[in-house]
Amino acid sequence: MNIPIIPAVAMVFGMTSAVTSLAMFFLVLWQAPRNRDNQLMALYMVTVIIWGLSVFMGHFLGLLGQTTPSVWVVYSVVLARSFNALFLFALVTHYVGLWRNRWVQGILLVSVGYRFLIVIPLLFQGQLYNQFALLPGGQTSFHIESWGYILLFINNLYYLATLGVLWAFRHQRARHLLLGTIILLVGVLITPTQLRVYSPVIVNAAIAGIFFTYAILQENLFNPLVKLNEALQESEEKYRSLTNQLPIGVYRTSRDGEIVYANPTLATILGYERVEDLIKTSAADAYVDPDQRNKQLGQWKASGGIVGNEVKLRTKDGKEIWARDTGRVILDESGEIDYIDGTIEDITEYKHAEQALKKAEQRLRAVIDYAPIVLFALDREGTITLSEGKGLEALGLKPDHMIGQSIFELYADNTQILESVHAALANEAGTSTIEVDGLTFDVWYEPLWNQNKQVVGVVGAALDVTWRKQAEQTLQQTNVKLQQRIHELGTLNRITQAVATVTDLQSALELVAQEITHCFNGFSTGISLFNEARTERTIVVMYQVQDQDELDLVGRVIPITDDMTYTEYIGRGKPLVIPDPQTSPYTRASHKSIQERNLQCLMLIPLQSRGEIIGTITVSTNQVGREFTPTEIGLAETIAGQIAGAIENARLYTAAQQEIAERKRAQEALAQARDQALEASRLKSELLAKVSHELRTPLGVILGYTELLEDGTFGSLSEQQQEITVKVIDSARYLSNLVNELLDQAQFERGKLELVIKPFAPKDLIRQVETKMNVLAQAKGLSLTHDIAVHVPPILSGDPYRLQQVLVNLVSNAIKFTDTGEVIVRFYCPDPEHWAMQVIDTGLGIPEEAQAYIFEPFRQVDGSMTREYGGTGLGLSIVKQLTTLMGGQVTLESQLGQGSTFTILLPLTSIQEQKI
Amino acid sequence: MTNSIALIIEDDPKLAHIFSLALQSVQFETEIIQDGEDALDRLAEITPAVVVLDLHLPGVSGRDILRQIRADERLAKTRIMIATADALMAERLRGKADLVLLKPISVGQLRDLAQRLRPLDTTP
Repeated sequence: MNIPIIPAVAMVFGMTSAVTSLAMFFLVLWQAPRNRDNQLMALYMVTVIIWGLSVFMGHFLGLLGQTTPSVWVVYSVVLARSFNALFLFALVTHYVGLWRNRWVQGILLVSVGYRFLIVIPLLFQGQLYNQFALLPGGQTSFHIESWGYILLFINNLYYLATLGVLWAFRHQRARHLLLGTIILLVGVLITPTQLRVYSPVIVNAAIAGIFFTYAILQENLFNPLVKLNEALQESEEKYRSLTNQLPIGVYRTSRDGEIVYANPTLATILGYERVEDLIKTSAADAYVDPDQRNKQLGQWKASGGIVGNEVKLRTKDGKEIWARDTGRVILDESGEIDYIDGTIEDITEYKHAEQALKKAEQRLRAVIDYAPIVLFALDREGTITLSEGKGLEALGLKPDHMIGQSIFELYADNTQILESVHAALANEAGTSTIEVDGLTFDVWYEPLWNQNKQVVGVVGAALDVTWRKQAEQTLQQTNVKLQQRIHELGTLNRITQAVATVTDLQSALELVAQEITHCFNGFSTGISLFNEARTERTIVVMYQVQDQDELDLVGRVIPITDDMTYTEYIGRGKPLVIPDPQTSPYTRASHKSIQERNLQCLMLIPLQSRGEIIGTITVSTNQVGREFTPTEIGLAETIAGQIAGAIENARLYTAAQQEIAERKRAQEALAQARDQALEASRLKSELLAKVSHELRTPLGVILGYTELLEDGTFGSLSEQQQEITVKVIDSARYLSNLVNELLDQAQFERGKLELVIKPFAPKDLIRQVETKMNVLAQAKGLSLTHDIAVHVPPILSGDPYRLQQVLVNLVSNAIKFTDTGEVIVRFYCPDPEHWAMQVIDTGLGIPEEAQAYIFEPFRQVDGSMTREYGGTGLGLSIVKQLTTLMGGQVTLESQLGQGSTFTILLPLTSIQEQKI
Repeated sequence: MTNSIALIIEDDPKLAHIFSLALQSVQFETEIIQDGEDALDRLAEITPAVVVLDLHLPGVSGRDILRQIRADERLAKTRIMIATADALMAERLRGKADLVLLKPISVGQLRDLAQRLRPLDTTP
């Protein structure tokens, strides 16, 4: 049964083992990593096992009856085994460190070379081939074959024993070395003779023997001292593994300063990947300061012990790090430096942290030393156990002074402190602002606990905030000042406005007084004006914040000649501030009223106009301790300037106003008087009109009936009856005339009389008057004649009724006052533009002095005349008024006893045109 | 004799009586009316030659009567004599009536004036 896969796999295994072993041989020989021992061992074992598998497969073919396995399988197996040996050889020399020992090299080469020298030639001769096919003796037997091959396979295990020997030798384990050697020797003994030539047991045993012998001869491995060394080696091994794992760098340098040992940590610290890279470098080069190493050497040597320094190292890539370099010098017997052991600890981070801490500490120190704080601690009894900080200085205290004292005693009178301490001791943390010796502290305090959470004291800090309080106060004061200034400006503005807009000075001054009082936060403000002689003052305005209604000072005139306040004040012409008005001699005159109102300070500001003091503003305050500041005085002076001008203006204005008012009043009085007169006159006229009207009707009845009686309508009368009737008629007519004249007068006075202008013939006018008057004239035996000048136009324009009335009045007047002679009525034109009516009599005449008033109503030459001659005394008045109304004038020429001539001169208005 | 009726419109009965007597003495037929409205009614019936008119009348005023007469064609020839005690009114009405007499009016004057106003007797 031919299964080709098996020889193929066997060959592959064999070749793999061979190649790997060969590769490892060179690798270990030239560049074996020292710290990869275990891995190398394991690899070697793997190569051996692979080789064993290939051998087994080759034999397995034989077991299956395949008696002629491929020659390549055999080759591969043999090669693998040979190269395994080489690998082993390399390992041995490597571990033992005997490579340089020529003896060892020669022995090992011979032991390995034996395989090449013996087995390979055999192979080419076909001998070796037989060993797979045939049992020794050329017999074929399954059980013999299988036994032999199993034994051969087991032989390979001897390599393990060899390895154990190597390990024991390397680590100087005498017992293990002995045990391995014994196992191999036993193996040699139990291996059948015919197999010995093929088995590796001989070689292995030989190797073990060599090492064992070497160990006995060279290393005294089985000497008790060696055993001690073994223990030491063990501990050193532990130590080494320990140092390898230590988080600090460990090194040893030679006396020349060359690093001979370093642990991986040191390599890492110094930026090397491998410890090997550090080896044989100069330790001094690692220091930033090249002399550092020597300095330390001296130090270490001198001390003889372990001394550490903090040094700066430079890593491979140039970075500077901080390290704690601790070392000691080991001297040889001659007292020279043998080698130096040391540790390097990377303290860069620590250093940084330390520096940071140092800075922080410095800052903290600065805070404590310079900041206005007090750090304190108290124990349960209130005894000061800690008291630090610049804040103490402000209090004039020193830390020593405080410690050990009881805070309860120190600040027995400061309830704020005591309360805070008690609160903290009562397990209550908190903050408070405490005033101590005029300083202000913001205090934080907390109870201090022990592990059992019991309060054992108080800790806290106090911050001196006095400056802040002061700043706040200053700020507040500034604000107040600023507000006050704004307030003042507002006041000034309002006053200016009031003065400018209020025409009524009194109102303006009242407003000013009010504003000033409030602006200065005063109690009252009064404004007084002096008379010209400055002997007295008149209070014109008084404003008071309280009991304003009770003031009745306004208008009061107060003499000031004896008042020192004002005499002094007028002399000075400057503001006067009286800070003690209740006692000041300045105010002696008004002490009583000042005391009643409890005034504390007075400020008198002069009101000046054109360089003269015309009055004062007096501002008072009842606030205790209040004095008027220069700023306020200045403001008051400004206000005074404003209102002084206004007062002066108002005075001029008032004077002018008064003058105008007086004139107006006079005019009004005049007008009123005139109106009253007119009204009285109108009433009189109306009364006259009314009376005359009411008189007329009954007069008409009397006159009517008597006339009818007289002319016989009711039958003829006796002579006596006739006579009486005529007298009644005369009286009635007289009365009627009187009424008519009164009425005319009334109408004149009312201005109600109107003219009716129309054409008339002067001749007719004269005839009508003569018709009326002839009876009267004839009764007195007078001749009534008329004379109309030729140049008088036949038709004139005018009011014939009124002209007739004028003429009748004049004629009847002439007849009345003429006893003998004649009455002539004359019409003529004195000039081309006038015509005239003249009534000439030869009567009594009118005295010169009477001529002036004869035309006035109700006037006759003599009051007695009325009684003698009758008449109302209105006739001539009506004549004059009618003439005037008609645009003419009346003149009188008369001499007592020589008669009178009344001339009515009228404008000539020819109406010939109308006529034509 | 043609129309010689004198209508006396006067609220004062005594004056009306006097006027009536005076006018009768110069051959007027007189008729007295004391009320303004009655006067207007009567004037619608008769055509007097002369009307003696008082201005202060109950009912229609004398001025209205004056205006009505003047507005009436039929009464164009009727002469109006105003007799008033109101001097102001007298002044104002002068020129509007044929005569304005201010009371008291003398009987003689009334007689003369009425005769003068009497329309010319055309009959022989």
